[in-house]
Amino acid sequence: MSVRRKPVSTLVLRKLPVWIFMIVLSVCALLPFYMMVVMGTHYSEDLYTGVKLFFGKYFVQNFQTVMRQNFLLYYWNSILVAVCNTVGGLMVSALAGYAFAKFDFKGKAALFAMVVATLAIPQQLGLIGFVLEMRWLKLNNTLFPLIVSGMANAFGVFWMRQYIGGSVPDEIIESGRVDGCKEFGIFFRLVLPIIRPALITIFLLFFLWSWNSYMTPLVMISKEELYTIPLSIALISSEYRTDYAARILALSMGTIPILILFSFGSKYLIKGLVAGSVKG
Amino acid sequence: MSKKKAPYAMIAPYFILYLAFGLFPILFSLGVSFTSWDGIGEAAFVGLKNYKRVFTQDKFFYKSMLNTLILLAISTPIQIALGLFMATFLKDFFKKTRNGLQLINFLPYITTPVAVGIIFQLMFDWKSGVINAFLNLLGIESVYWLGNAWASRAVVIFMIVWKNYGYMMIMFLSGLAAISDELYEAAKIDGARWWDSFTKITIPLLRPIFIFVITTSVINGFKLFDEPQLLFNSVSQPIGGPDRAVMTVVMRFYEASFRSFEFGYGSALAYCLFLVIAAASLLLFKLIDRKKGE
Amino acid sequence: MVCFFGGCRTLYFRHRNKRDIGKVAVGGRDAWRDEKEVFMKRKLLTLLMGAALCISSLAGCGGGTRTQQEAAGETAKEQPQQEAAGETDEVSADREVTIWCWDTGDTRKQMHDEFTKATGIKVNLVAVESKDMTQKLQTTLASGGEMPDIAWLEATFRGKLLSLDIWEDITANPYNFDTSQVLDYLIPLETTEGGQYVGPECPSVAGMAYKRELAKEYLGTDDPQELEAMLSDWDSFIAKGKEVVEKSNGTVFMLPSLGAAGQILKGQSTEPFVEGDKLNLDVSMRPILEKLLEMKKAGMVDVLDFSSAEEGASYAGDEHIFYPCANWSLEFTIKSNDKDGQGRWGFMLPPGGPFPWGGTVMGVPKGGAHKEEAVEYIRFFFASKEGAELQRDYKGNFSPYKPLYEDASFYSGVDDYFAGQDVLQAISQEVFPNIKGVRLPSKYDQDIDDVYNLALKTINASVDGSVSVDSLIESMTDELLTKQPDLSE
Repeated sequence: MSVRRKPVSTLVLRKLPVWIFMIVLSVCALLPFYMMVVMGTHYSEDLYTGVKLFFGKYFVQNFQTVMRQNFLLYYWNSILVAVCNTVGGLMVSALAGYAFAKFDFKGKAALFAMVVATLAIPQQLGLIGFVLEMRWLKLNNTLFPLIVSGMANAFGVFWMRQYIGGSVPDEIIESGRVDGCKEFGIFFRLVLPIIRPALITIFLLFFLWSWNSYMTPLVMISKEELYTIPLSIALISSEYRTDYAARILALSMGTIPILILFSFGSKYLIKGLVAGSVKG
Repeated sequence: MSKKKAPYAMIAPYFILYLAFGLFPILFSLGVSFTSWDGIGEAAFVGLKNYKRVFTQDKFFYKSMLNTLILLAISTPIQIALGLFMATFLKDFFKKTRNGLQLINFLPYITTPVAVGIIFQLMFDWKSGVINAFLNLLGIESVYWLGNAWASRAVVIFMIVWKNYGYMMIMFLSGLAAISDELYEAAKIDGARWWDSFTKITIPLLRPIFIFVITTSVINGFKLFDEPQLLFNSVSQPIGGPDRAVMTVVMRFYEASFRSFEFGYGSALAYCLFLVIAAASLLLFKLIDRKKGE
Repeated sequence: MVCFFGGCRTLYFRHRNKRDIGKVAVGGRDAWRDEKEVFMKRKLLTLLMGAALCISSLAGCGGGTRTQQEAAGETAKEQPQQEAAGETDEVSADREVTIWCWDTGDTRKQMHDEFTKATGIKVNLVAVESKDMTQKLQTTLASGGEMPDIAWLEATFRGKLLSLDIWEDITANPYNFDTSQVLDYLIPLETTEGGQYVGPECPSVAGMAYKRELAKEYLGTDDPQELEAMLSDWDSFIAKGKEVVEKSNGTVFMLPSLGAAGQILKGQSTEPFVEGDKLNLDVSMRPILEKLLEMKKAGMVDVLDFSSAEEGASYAGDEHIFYPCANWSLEFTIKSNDKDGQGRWGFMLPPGGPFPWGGTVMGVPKGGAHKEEAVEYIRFFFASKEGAELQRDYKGNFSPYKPLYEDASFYSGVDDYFAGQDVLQAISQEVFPNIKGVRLPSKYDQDIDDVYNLALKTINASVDGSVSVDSLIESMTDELLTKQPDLSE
């Protein structure tokens, strides 16, 4: 059949691969997450008897097992750490990224190379040094190390530099200067609104990383009242055994803030720029 | 503040925080890498002995480097391509449902690792996994996924791609948000098809994002640790899977430092990895710059 | 910068305040919580403000960094002295032990309540998973942090940890723990290379569990004595295995995994894998691998991975007859994996006799703050009848306290999972006395374990066991020498 004569079916035909792509990937993405939620509702040992596709009858017991711990306190600790870490890290990254993207200054190349070089260092390497340092500062067994670790995030700086370089036109900055704005004023008033999608992306990722961080809390925190969610998972056990189902339930409950944040942030990621702020 | 001083003030918070809490621990480990130290007794200075051991004696270093390269070389292009297509499809074809689809495709990135480990172990089980059941249905014999070198590499690659393409999608989505719709409209008026807009507008304008995404995924690929660890983390599984086919450099570092208490040697291993990554990134930047020149 | 350290100073003072709050409101836990919430909220505010100030007033950040930092350091230094002074005053009132362990469940807490009632010592549990214990101990040691009073050391990681000079010898002054009352076979397992006795453990020993129905169908009997007579050594076990394979057309297996068979074989031999710094694999590992290959070739062992999800699921199925079964397997593995298995199981001594399997040593680190209390805890739970009863009733654990085993009824109880067999008594009266010896822990244990697991994978993946023991031993040797350059062949 001729393509030209039937425009409607061409449209369908052309979109078909796109639809298949979307459906296959979405199913692959959704299924394990769904299974994780389902796993939290089963009896722990039953998890291993095969892939569970439907909700089990053990939710209430697992929920009780989780709640026997001081889960809300750990939730609060995690939120405190993640919010402080993320807000701080976001500002630090955006400022530095902006400077690297839009200014010429002495030593810029070398300083930026240093930022990228930090990316290359395996995170676990600095662990002992960090614990030692926090002990010297008498800050071990507080939440401070968890908040501050990773706040100077090379990844964030690199991302912001790339993003600002590609999306903030120099004219806007110049026009701000012409209008007599101070440099920081330009950043806060003109640049930040433009890079909102990037800020949201980084906010989400920083929050997620801080929220899931395990290694640093593991070695820093030995007091139950300072536990974050990933640490508290080790507390969850039943009578004689490690209760994986309850642990997974707790961890699923731990993903709720991420889901909420993402649902809110999601629409800004694609909306495009506010009309008039940038000329392409 | 003047235009000259402003950038220094802007990068200051990063570098101050970094000097205070990032650099010290790393320099500390650098010092440790020249010693023999179990973390308990006194550290004995041994000069370059640890580094010599990495390069001349440790077959695992080369093997794990090779494994890491294999896993990295295969998984990175796939996850970037999937993330890019996902992002552009969402923007162009799924305007009404995109919020939901965005969330769904980001889920692998936030699915709890413990659950991921259990799910993948079950799915790829030799005797009763769904993957083998499916293969049997097609008349293909069961594969011992977690018992053969290449099969377990395939599973790890699958895990990496599955976990990361949604993250790539997010990166590209926020990059796409910075491209003005007017450009696409103008192209449409000129009679450009979707594919033309994609190759002539989207890809060139996403260049900064590409550089970022490629660089960080190569670097993160070198630091691969979680996925192979998750797949082979039960007590009776050898570290790094069958034939050590998915043992990565960071796994080897972790084992030396935190299981064998050889912190000096572990640090040296990590610094050797750092050197390799630094060389690779330099090469990458050179390549990117050359392309830019063309 | 100035404001930044200002921020952390406030945080530090808050931290101190919190301690005070904790001390004042000992009785009122809830009041303390409220105070803490207020404190938390304030802390959040302080921090956010600190961060905001810090970023906005960077222009003013020039010098002054060092002095501020030093000031913070100095105030911080004062604290330990105050604390130490406080503690000497309170010693009698504030007796406690902090334990790093991976069981913080309710039954353990109830058991500890009884202990607190009896001795006045409070028990704090810090949850650390067994896989994370080594790392947490190491980082704490390396950074000179606060050590626990007791740390749990699991069997696989024990060798390495015991080789470190960080443990108190609790038989020495002033603790004088009496090891003559400890089951003899355990003592070498709990002693460092330097000869310090670190601490006791609940003895973990194993026999073999079997599914009665399958045993009756394929071996003609489900009586433990008859089975023990029929399968008294490995050769007869393998011969019977071949019959089972034939009879069932290869659908029923003697054991679920090579690892299960290997666990028994490894536990029964006492030859060290490493002698000094020389590998001893030809003597120690070769016979084990040979037996495993023989079984693999006979098709009598299934291909599941040992202690994997799949193996767990197989307990409820009916394809596998035998499983290695330690005292802790009863609750932890069999009953939790085979929920409806009442009456399905039997317990017997395996071919070649019973063997030790598992065990968690209670180590007392030198750096702990309450070592006396730690030893008192250990004495109570591991060297007294009272503690042994609590361990038995709350946790189902056996005690290393020798005198208990003279009374056959101390560990006894009909088990409906085992069709009325008295498994506890069988373990205490038949298994313990028949443990021939133990393989001494070595700092290379985890490395050996790892190459052994790798070898099992290779055998498992091979078609009907077509690998040679020579090549396995060779690659094991090669790997071990690479990993531990101070070892030699």
